Amino acid sequence: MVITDDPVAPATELELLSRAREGDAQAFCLLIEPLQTRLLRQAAALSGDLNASDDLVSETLVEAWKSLARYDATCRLSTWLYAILLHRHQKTIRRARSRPISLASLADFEMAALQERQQNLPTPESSPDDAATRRESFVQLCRCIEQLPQKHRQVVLLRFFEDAPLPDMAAVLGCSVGTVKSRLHHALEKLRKMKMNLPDLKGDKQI
Amino acid sequence: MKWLSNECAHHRQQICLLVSGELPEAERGEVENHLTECADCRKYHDELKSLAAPLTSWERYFSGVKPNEVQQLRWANAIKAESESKPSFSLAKRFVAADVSPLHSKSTKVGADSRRLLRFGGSVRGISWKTFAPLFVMRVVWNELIWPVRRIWAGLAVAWVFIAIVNHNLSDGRPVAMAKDAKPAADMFLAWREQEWVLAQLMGKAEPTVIEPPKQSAPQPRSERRTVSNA
Repeated sequence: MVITDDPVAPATELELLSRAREGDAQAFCLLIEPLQTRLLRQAAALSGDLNASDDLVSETLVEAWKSLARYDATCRLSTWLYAILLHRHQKTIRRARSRPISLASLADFEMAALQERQQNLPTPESSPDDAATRRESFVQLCRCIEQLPQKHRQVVLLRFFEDAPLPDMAAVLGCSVGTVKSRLHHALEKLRKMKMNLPDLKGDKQI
Repeated sequence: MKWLSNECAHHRQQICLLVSGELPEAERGEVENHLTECADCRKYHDELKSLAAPLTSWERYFSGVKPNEVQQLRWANAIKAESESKPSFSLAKRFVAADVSPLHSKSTKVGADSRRLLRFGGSVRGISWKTFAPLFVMRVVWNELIWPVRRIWAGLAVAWVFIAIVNHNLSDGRPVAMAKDAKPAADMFLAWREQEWVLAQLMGKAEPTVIEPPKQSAPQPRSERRTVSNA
């Protein structure tokens, strides 16, 4: 990402972070450049719309730039960005008064486009039917996550979509590690019960 | 519904952490031993594992999603535009929210904020740290004097309200003469003399009396007194 004509000397993440905190936008762009792909995928998984995910990432990065002074490095930068992404997404949903997370609608209109893109990529599934089954189970699981309370949904998304360790989740959510463990336990328990009530997912053990 | 034993209930949370990949190595052996012994917990573990499997591999469903150069340029421009605009009030709030003097802390994030604020001096010359000094003082007072002993302050406020209510109820109210619509004293005197004259007329003791207003008590200046005596 290039925003100015000045060449940037290669620097470590800490140097970039300190420069960005002092107001160097170019250093901030260099800092977040390796995280953009994953952030866009996370936004696509949350919003279910590629255009909306583009706007969501843009809002997230601007918000992160504005509040970079609040980042105290108690968690990974990617986790912090994902927490901002979650917050912005919730804010967008509240503003639009739409469904809490339209990730499940991915199956209807965006998944087809994604599937078309993925046709040229090596897929881990052994057969197209297997891939479709897995995708369907993933979409149904996302529907279940949508129905979780916000505090439980946050820990599930942070743990599995951001791969954040427990201390990072505690730092981002502003609670103790024990609270995060408890929330994760209750969230998985609720997901398990929801999945048990779904008849088409009961025989999904091989996934 | 089958009730869980205490041991199983204890291990359920650890099984969740095991499935999530966040169980420490030291506790893993204990949980795995329990799983070999308890069929219910083993079933629970298998269900959670099948539940978490699609979630842990979520990214492969989005492997085709990658930011292109146009998107990256747009994001960079958004950040650049934000950095070139004048600092928002949220920056000012963080400026105030710091517990240290912002201009003298060069190694902290507050110092970075302050330097950032000062660097924008060309566009926001009116804003300086003195602008936020009252808010800073109010915050320090709130944090150091009020909030730590907030219950005492709340008790004092309640006592003050109670005393004010009791004082209001026990007071005699406003005197009549001090009321805004009360007549002046001279008018009252004239009205009384007039009533006295009417009563005397009715009783046949009427005498033509001239009702004169009482003398004004305003003192005469010394200069005028002297002229009268000379005359």
